[in-house]
Amino acid sequence: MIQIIADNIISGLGGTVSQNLEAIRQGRTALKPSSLFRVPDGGRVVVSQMDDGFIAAPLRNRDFTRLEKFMISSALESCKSLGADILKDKSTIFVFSTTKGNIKYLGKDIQRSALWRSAEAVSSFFGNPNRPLTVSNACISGIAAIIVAKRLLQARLYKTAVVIGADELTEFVVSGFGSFKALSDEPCRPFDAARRGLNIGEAVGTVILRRADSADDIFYRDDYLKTPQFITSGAITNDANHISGPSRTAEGLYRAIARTLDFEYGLTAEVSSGEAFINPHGTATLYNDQMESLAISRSGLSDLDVFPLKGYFGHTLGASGVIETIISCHFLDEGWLPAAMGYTSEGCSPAPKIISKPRKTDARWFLKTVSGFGGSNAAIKVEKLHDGLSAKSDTSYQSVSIQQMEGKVFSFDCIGDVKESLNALYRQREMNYPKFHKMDVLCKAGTIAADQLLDSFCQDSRTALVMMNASSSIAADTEYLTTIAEDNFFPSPSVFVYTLPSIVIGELSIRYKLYGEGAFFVCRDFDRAMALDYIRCLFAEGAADRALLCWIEANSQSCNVRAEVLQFFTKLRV
Amino acid sequence: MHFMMDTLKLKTQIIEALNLEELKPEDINDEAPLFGPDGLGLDSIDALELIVLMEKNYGIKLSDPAKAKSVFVNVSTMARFIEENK
Repeated sequence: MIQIIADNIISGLGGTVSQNLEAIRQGRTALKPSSLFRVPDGGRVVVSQMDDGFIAAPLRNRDFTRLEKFMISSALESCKSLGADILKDKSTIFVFSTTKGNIKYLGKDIQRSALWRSAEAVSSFFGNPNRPLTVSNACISGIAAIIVAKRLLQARLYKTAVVIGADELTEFVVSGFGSFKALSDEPCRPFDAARRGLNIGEAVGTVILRRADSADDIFYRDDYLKTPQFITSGAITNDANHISGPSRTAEGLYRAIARTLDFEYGLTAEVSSGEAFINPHGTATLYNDQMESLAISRSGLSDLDVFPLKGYFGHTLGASGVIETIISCHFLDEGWLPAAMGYTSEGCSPAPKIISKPRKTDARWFLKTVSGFGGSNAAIKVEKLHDGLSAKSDTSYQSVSIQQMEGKVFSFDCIGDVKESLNALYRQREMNYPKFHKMDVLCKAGTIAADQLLDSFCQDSRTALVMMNASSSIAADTEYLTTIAEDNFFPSPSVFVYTLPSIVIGELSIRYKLYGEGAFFVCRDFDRAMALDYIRCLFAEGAADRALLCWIEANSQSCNVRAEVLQFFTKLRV
Repeated sequence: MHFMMDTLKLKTQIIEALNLEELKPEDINDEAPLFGPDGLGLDSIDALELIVLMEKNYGIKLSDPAKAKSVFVNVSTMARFIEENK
């Protein structure tokens, strides 16, 4: 059982969880108009920002970036009463969730902008001996990181995981969402009939997860949740439909909910209305809110209370899944749910039960859902301790063995004109896939590897995509930067969409109709052992039977691909 | 109907902006639909990129997505709109 034992949130609403909860109870929003960021149509921009005063005093003059200082401050605050020793223990792993990290250093100090570097800076500040992991799965990163952490703990690879979700407000991100016409010029109104788009916010959240091996191993704290809570299930899926638009049938999110709540595809969940609530993604864009409403209805959850949180601090990207889960945990504990800020009238059909006034709840668990670019979706179920729970045993990771599928290995290296080399391979392979030309080099390289390794055998939801690199979407990032130059400001949506490395998962899912698991890890170099551990977790959990593991490092001058297909080999009797 | 702007130039700009690498300007019929399976098969990101193209090359701002739908029917409607709003 994976228990939530500590947390922290730094957002526009405050620097501690209690400050954030208090602001929400009082119905305050951190969203404010700002003149700091340019958008394509020159309209008003509404954002929420963290106050630099929440950076821990001893860090102020240290050589960390602003975002790293917030990450360290958040982790420090989260374990204030546990003691920071837990963070340096060798059985503790740091798992980061971010979309763009230190992107504002790109073009100035490229070393600093690397996601893995921030992760290592933070984990080594605490003296943690393990190599940290960074999950960069677009807007589902936070929940994906929680799911990844949960799996690593269940596999007994670690005892404790520190999940830190973080993203900062930058012109890069704000202009990109502006180029997608996705921003609202007023505080956002999730699920409302008059919703006009999202607001970007910045935040950092830390949640500490710990595996409880028995009822006696459950962690009790007087100063925390009254009843212990556990992350009991979770799933990551893909729409296999489009890299930026949500699925019209809510395919991926429906599948994520079905796997999380353990009901069969095509059926609905059997849940009584008072037993649970839903904290949705609820970004307040026209199409995503509609898609989520459909997923909730397809899953048979239309009677559950739904409270979106974006009206309080906007869409905080890599932090959002983490901070919204933390807030939901505390309201589950309190038995009280806040009103959906900005919501006055039904704007989706079939209409979910959006809470327009705060209300009490006797819920025993909640469902948290997220969806993002690349057709990605994820969901987790968080439950309060109850009798049935302790009996459940964790999946047996040790008994699962995996093997490489025969002949399914591919590697590719090139230096020089990478784009042209990849185009030459495309012609040589007679791929006949015009979408290829729209892709950035990362996706092109991934598509070529998949063309070699995947074929009709994998058209299903049982093939996982596990991708990894060190420089994230550096080529697309650099190109996008040129479209937002000071004197030549024409933010390009078709370049911006590729500034998320996990788009490659979306591209492959579309091409091969893969609805299953996908994760993009950013780390210093190809940590194949770690990737195989993670794939074994997926197999042990029953989340996949096969996996395409792909290391793809691609920028405009060099490209390095190591790909292979792994399959479930045997489950030993133990 | 009097002749409007040079659609060849516009087609070249579209091909470049949308990376339609396997197409040449002469492959695009002025009246063929830009979106949907019967035409060029463009998608929602392409539509957004066409808005950028109009602003960047012709200084025309098109922020109302509803309006974009009627402008981006085909190359002809786009050319007419550019001509009228330049």
